[in-house]
Amino acid sequence: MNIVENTTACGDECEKSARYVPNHQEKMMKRFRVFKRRRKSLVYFSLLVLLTFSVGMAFIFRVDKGHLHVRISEVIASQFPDHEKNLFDTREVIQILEKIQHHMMLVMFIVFLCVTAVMFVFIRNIVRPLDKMSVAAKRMADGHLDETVPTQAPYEICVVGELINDLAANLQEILLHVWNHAQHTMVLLDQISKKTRSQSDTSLMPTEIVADFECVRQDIEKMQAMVEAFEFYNIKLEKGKVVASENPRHSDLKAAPSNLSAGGFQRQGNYNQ
Amino acid sequence: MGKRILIVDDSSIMRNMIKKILEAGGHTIAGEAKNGKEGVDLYKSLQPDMVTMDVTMREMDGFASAREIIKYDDDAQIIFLSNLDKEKYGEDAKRIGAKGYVGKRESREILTLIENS
Repeated sequence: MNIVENTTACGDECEKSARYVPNHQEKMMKRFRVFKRRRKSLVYFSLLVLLTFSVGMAFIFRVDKGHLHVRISEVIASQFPDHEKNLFDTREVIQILEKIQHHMMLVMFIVFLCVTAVMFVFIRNIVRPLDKMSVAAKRMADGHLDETVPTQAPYEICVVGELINDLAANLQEILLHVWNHAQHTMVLLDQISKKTRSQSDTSLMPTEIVADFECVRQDIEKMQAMVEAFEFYNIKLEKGKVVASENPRHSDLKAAPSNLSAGGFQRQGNYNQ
Repeated sequence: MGKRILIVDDSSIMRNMIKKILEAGGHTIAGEAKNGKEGVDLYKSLQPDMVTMDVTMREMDGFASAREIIKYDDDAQIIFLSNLDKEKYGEDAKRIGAKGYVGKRESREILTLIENS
């Protein structure tokens, strides 16, 4: 992996921006992986082209055979009375057959172009978006819920992509819900243990119950650790709080007096001006 | 009296949960949107009495969406319903002009807020 650092000559206030530049070997490996993923579709299309070509070429070669010309001429000539048979010109039959042969070659060429065009469109509109989708879905499966499946694709693929994104959104919501509840329970446990410690007579709290409390705490901590192993979309968990990893788009908000009560507040007329 | 409410949330599970809470409180669901942009469009077409808005959403987040809605209708009644820390983001919601901010853990509080509004 290469990291290119762009440093401007501006003294102590230099800003270094690191940009990842893959080397030749990494590029080749990436191309190989892409080829490996598309191998099946490439093989199917190659077989289709080969089949079309084989059928067409077999027909063209068959028409080109001399004995076929002779046989057709004989069959046509046999339809005439004996005295007119000598007048029949076989060259016209050969010319017609040659014309058919040329038409066949033209048709073959057009079919080849069509199949190539279909293959190109198929790879660009179906295989490539599916590739991107599978890479993103794999990252999501690995716990990167911050990943978004691209949905710029044909309708059918786009629908699948949106459904995968919905699944990730639902999973994120459930995990955050669990984490928030666990956090709240931890706060309650802290309060309980604080109160019990402050009791002058510690015999009020048997040691088994204290041990049980500790077990509950450890279980909750493990549950939180499991949730924290995920990467969330635009959210991070820090210091017992769920915060946005990127500031939501509200930078133009003006300062307002604090009058928050029970989750609700009065609209301040000047906020939106 | 029941209100017509638009739910804006990217999670279908959460939308269903909020829907059940609101319906149990005697309100009707005017519509559901899965991102902020869709929320703005549905608000304009459905003209609901109230909106419940998530904050973190793909395409357009809840704050941007709420600002668009309030820009369109200064009397829009928006309540934020999010997993994000209430202490940290409640103030931001207030600055935008929302009616309130409820943590998803205490989703049922939304009924009290609607009744008080």
